[in-house]
Amino acid sequence: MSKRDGDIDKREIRLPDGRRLIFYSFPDPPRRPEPPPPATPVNPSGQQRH
Amino acid sequence: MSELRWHPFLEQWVITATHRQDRTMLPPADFCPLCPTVPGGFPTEVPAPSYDIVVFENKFPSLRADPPEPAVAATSVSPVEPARGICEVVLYSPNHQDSLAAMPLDRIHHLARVWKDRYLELGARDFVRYVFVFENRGEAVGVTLHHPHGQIYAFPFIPPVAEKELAASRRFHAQHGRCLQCASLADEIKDGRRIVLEGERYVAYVPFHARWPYEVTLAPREHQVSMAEWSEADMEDLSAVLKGLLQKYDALFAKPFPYMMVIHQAPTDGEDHRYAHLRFEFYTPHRAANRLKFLAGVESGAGTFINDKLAEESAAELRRVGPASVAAVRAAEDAGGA
Repeated sequence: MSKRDGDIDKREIRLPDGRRLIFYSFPDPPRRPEPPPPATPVNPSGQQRH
Repeated sequence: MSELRWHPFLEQWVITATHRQDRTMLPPADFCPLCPTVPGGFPTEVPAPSYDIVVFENKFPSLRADPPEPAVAATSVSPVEPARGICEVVLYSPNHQDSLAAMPLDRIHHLARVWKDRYLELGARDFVRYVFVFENRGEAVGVTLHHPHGQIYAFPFIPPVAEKELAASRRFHAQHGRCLQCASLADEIKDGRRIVLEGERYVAYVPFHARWPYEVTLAPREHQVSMAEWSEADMEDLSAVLKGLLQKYDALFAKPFPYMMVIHQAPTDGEDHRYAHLRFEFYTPHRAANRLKFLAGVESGAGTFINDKLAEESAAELRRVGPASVAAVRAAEDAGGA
């Protein structure tokens, strides 16, 4: 049996003695929250650089 | 044989589990039952040549979903119940030599997701009232298998330590209108002397009331009753603070540091536990590089801990070793180090 909860992949099997075993796999690495973008430099005249 | 025997003087359950006497004890690394089963090798618990993270029901469980009837009769003094519950093993890594302190942050983040998933799934069972996630690391705390792993006990009752903490938290909330752990953490941050490592969302500190020599509490800044409330950002920050703390532990005496890591959170009994606050606690038996603290007469018989260390001194020692900050933990990993 295989199911996907959110971005967790779970695959459950039964061992020979009947116990549950679950394989968890994570195909996509979790993303570290992106730091806020640096403030856009503004030149002394007050106009943004491009 | 396994059953719950009531301790009428302490008013708590004792689990008998005589079959656990037969469990595998410190096998050589090439016969580890928690490693993957490699082609041509002996069959381990995991019938696959590799894995990411695995959870399975313990081969020697203290509690089981379909327990046998007790072997002894109950009396009015000594009630007995079947030892119903679930005991799971969580394999952190296929690498036998790995440890939480050495794992990439992504893997620890994955592990947090698995903990959350197990809390939700096990806690949804009608007979499970408390999901207890923990890790014993090192022979000093009774480890029998060195492969990096933790355990989960899904209890049919709220275990007594958690029950006592919850009762105190409930009373504090009723008297002061705020969460006890939130108030305690605010005091710790304001004082600052016992802080060990700070993340954006999680803080590690030696609590004012520490019972163990290098005891640490790791708790979210915001009020969270359980793992069910974890966001991806929470788990990411937790991973970095947890890894940094464990690197500090290993650096303290320049050797793998034994500990018991336990996670306290809201029960899963269907009641309202908004006053509960998720936190990790680390109980650490080493009081010096080659000296262990034992739970001897006063601790075991009187229930009163004697701590040979001051929390303020322990925190200062931990601050001085290992990564200086959570940013340093991330920077070391980005640079390709542990």
